[in-house]
Amino acid sequence: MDLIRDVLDNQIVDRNQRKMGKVDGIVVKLRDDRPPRLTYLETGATTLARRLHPRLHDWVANLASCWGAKQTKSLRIPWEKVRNVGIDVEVDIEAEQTSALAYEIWLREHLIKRIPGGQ
Amino acid sequence: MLVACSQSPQDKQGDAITTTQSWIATARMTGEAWQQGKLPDAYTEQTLIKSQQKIVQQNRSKVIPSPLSEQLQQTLRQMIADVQQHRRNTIASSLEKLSNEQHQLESLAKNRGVQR
Amino acid sequence: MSKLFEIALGIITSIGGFLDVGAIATAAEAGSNFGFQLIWAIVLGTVCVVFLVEMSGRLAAVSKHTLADAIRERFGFNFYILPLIAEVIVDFLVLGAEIGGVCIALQLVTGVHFQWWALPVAFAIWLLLWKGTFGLIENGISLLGLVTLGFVVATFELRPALPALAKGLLPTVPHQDTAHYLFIAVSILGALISPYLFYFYSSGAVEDEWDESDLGVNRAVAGLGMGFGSIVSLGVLIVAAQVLHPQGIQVDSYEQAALMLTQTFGYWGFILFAASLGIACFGAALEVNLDTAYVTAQAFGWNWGENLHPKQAARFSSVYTVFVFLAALLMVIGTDPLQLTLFSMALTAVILPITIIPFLVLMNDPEYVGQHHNGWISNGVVIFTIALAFILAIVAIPLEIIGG
Repeated sequence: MDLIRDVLDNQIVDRNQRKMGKVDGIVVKLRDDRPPRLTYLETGATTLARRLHPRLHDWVANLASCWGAKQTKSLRIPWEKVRNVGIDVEVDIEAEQTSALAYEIWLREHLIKRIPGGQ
Repeated sequence: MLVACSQSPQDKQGDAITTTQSWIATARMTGEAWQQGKLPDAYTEQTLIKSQQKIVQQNRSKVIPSPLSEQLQQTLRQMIADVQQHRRNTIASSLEKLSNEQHQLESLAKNRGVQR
Repeated sequence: MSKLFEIALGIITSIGGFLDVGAIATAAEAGSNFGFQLIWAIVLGTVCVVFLVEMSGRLAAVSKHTLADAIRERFGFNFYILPLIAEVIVDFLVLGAEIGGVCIALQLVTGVHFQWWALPVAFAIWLLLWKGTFGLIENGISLLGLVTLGFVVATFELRPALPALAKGLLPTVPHQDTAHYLFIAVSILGALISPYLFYFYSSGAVEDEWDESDLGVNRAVAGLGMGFGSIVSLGVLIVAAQVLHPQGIQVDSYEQAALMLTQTFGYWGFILFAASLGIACFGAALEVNLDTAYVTAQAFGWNWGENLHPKQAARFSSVYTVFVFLAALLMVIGTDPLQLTLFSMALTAVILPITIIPFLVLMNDPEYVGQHHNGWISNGVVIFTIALAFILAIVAIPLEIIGG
């Protein structure tokens, strides 16, 4: 498997096939004398912003800390939770219970549900 | 191509005349269609007013000599009044005037070497 | 039998969905200014769009990816952000223009100035997306779009001279108004080859869960649907060339275009023009607005789908809710709808390479389309047309702006 080609920027779906973001970053642990070990997948706007430009990261983090769900940290998904890497990266967690959907839930509660028919 | 497309003052005048002709033709076609009951009143009135405005706008540099441009404005005002008062029979004379003025402008354009 | 039905429905929806504010405005502008001289641009644009629509359906059916997903995955987000931003900017202007088209249609019929209609129209678009499903939008609105066939009927009534029409198939550059001629040629190509169509079509195919057994239907619908759709576009050009051009009317406002069917159909011709403009633009506005929500949601991996309840895809629904009202503001402040249309269509031609080149790479990548990769003809036609549109655009747009 090629991490950059097959995993980075792919869609993440949870155990119920619910879309919960994309793979914005990959965390690899370097170890002495042994090959590096893949530890986490990261998903979140701040990680994505850092990949575009380091300064953009600070800017997005500032914006996120004062608006909406106030979620500035990206979600880290342990590699052991990854069930399958195909078209989508399937992980064995419940999306609703993670911070990955913080803004989705915030918008649902504060905007969508307040519009008639959004319930 | 760049040279061919850059606008000389003559070109600008030519454009102004062409655009004016286009709006006169629009007013005429609108008036004729309205006379035959093919257009709603509101649209006709709006389009005639717009034609009038566009013609004034194009004539800021006075490419059209003043007797003709004043006649034109007078005719269009008359047409607008006809539409406002639903006088389908009297608009015929205004249309005739307009067509006359259209021909005058055409010969003016020809003299200046403007081609459509 | 169900395949035949699917093909028929697909063709009908493509005819309705093909025409939008850009196709009507550019064809009317071309016919009234240059007679039949720009027919070649419509034909070339149609051939290219047939290939591209077929490709986006094939990509979705074989790889199960939408175009946006596939570009993001294959080239990485750091690249995808460029076509994404370009697409959102163009969508914003095009949506403003489509809303403008609906507003003008309402102004023609009621006499109430178009600016007043912008927010009610935006609300109607939003309401349909909020309450409706993909099938309702795709099929319902497109069926209504068949009124645009009125232009084809008018074409036959007007009996254009066939040799003159055939001459229009060959590109010629006129001595007069060269800059404007090129600008309109670019706008025609931009209006027909709209990237939103490909994002939208591939998203629809994924929503409908297409697989390789749908490839035949896809080919038929892309070819026949877009082909028939362009006949309507040609109809607009020919009617404008037959009715407006001889009178010396050069369309620089929608009011002038509205006269083109009165000669053939009288009062109902006027109504037919307004209805065609209104319905075509309304349908296209739905598609463009939905497209923006699709590309944004797919860019970030959010849950998306027009068939989902808004609360199941909150961020996706928020995008189309906010975007449509923002775009309507372009009309509220009184931007000239026709100028906005022509400009945004020409701008579309500028952003074509940045979307279409990665798209072509995907269509030749066995990882995505396996054995169903492109042949040299489809690659060649698309590259040629996109390159031509792009070069013409960077030459013609500055000239048009300098020339006023």
